[in-house]
Amino acid sequence: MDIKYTPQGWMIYSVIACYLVAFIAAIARRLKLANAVYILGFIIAVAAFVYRWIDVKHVPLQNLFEVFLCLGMLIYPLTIFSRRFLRIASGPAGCADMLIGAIVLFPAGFVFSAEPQQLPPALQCWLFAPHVAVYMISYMIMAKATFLAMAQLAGRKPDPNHNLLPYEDATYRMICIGFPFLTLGLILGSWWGKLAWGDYWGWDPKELWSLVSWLVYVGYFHFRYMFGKKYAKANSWWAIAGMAAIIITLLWVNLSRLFPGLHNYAS
Amino acid sequence: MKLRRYLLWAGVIFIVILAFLSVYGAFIGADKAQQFFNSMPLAVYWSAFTVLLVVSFYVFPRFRRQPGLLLMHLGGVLIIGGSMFSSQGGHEIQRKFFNLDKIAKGQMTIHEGHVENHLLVDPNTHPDKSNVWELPFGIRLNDFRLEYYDAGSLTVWVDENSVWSGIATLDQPIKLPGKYGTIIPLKKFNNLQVTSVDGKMQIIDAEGLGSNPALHVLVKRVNGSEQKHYIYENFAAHSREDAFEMSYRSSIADYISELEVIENGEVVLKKDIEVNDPLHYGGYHFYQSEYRTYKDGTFATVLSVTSDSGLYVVYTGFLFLCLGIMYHLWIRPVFKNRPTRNL
Ligand code: HEM
Repeated sequence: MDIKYTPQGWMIYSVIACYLVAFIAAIARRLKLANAVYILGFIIAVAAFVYRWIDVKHVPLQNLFEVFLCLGMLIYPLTIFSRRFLRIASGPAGCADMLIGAIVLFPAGFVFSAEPQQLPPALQCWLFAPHVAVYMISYMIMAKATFLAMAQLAGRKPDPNHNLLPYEDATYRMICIGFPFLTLGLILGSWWGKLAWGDYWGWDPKELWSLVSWLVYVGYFHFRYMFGKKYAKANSWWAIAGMAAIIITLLWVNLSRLFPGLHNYAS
Repeated sequence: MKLRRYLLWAGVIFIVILAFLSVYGAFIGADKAQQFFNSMPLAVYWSAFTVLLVVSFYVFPRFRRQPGLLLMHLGGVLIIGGSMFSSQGGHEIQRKFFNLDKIAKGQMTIHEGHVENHLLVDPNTHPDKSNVWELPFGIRLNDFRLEYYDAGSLTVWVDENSVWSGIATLDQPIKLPGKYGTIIPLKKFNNLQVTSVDGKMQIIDAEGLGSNPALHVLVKRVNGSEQKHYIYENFAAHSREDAFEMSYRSSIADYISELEVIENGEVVLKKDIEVNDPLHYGGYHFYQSEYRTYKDGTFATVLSVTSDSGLYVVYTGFLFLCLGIMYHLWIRPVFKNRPTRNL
């Protein structure tokens, strides 16, 4: 547990608090309050990200602390985009998103060290920021798709008064939006690997896990194309398996430290 | 109709197999995974996958009707095909059948001021494991230099449970966890040397003669006592009284090799390469990889060399895959959902 008694830390804790209050208010159907606190949380999250950017003097996407901070900032725009343009909301006022926001900020607030680091030569490349940024966007979209898939598995139906897509269709639509970002992340990473190390594919565990996550979604598309909604639950399980692979990819470096000797990547 | 169903099942099975093989690859580590995915059985798998995709272009009319779908699956064919072409096996086939005289991957070491045209072949990627290859041109290293960040990084093991690690910015106090006080970085040395000036010992930051990066720090305890220490990058330091260990690492911002390509005794290309900015010449890319220092203060640069055969096929595949997926999943639904106008 790494509690941060710094302005950066307090900002993150305030955002987590806002997202959780918004979540509870949404469940209690106090939708106006929920939305107001959610927006407040988002504004503080943006401030925390900008503060970090100024503090470390480079795009703050270098380590897991910064990555999770960025994820916590992306959730609000995603909620608004999916509600306005896709007719998708998970739970009253999209309350699952508020929970996702609080969950992804937890590691930034309590687990990973916020000590600034210098960019090693390999990271000084224009591809670094877009490569990580598109991955972060796709991860948040897929996280939302996962909650929608879980709602489908739990037999939930969206509020009929709000003209929303049923959860199975919503999951598919969400994955359709996120998958091109995931593909772009993989390809930009590959291109960058070629520039930095000479190989567009190095077969290293992190790369292979990112390929696994991508392939699970490719499998999802084909399975859903073959059977449509005949096995709606199986479709949802594919989506959840995709997220499980993403979590392993994102945390692989840390997970591998828990199992030393398995391979040499962590060292 | 049945054929389409079989093909789709085959597609899903191929995708799932690749996902499982990738999980296996992640557990065996990069080197072994590379050998595994380049092995003969896997070459059969990659070929079958490519054939499956190509056959499906003929069998599924939707591929012809929907440009996004065609583009993304064609992208898959180009990526797999191009990768096979650029692999070691691909190079061997090209050598046998097309008389192409290139190696897939190697490494060359060039001493400052010297011209080199030999490279050490990566033993994993050469058939007979003979390890020296001669390029038809030479590369001269005019100069090699390192660029450092203004501040290095410091790690302090305060006690068994707490470690502080971060950037040691000069004159900025670092507050240690617990009640251990503060550390103030005073001066940074790229190459600390002790010399005698007029019979007096002096500590100086020498240029170019060997390498001894160090940091001079002031340790201020809570009880008011103060001590100064030198922390050497090459030797961990024990602060005597406080009994905590400190280690220092100068942070390298860049490695730069000033190169010239020499063909028939003439300089045909000049380029300063650094990480993320390689040299491209004669069908090879040359990457800044490592460096070596010698006792006389000179350097050698180590370049990793890769053949560019098949690379642009793979890049075209990347482009097709991205454009196809974006068109099919983002752009097409926008048009599809538009209400059609009655004319
Ligand atoms: C490189 C690996 C592959 C990738 C990245 C890929 C990707 C995709 C994607 C994203 C879709 C769109 C699904 C949708 O619209 O819901 C799709 C559809 C399809 N794929 Fe693949 N695929 C791959 C391999 C294959 C293989 C091996 C086959 C051969 C059987 C195949 C046959 C099809 C077919 C028939 C469709 C249906 C298209 C439609 O009408 O929507 N794919 N693929």
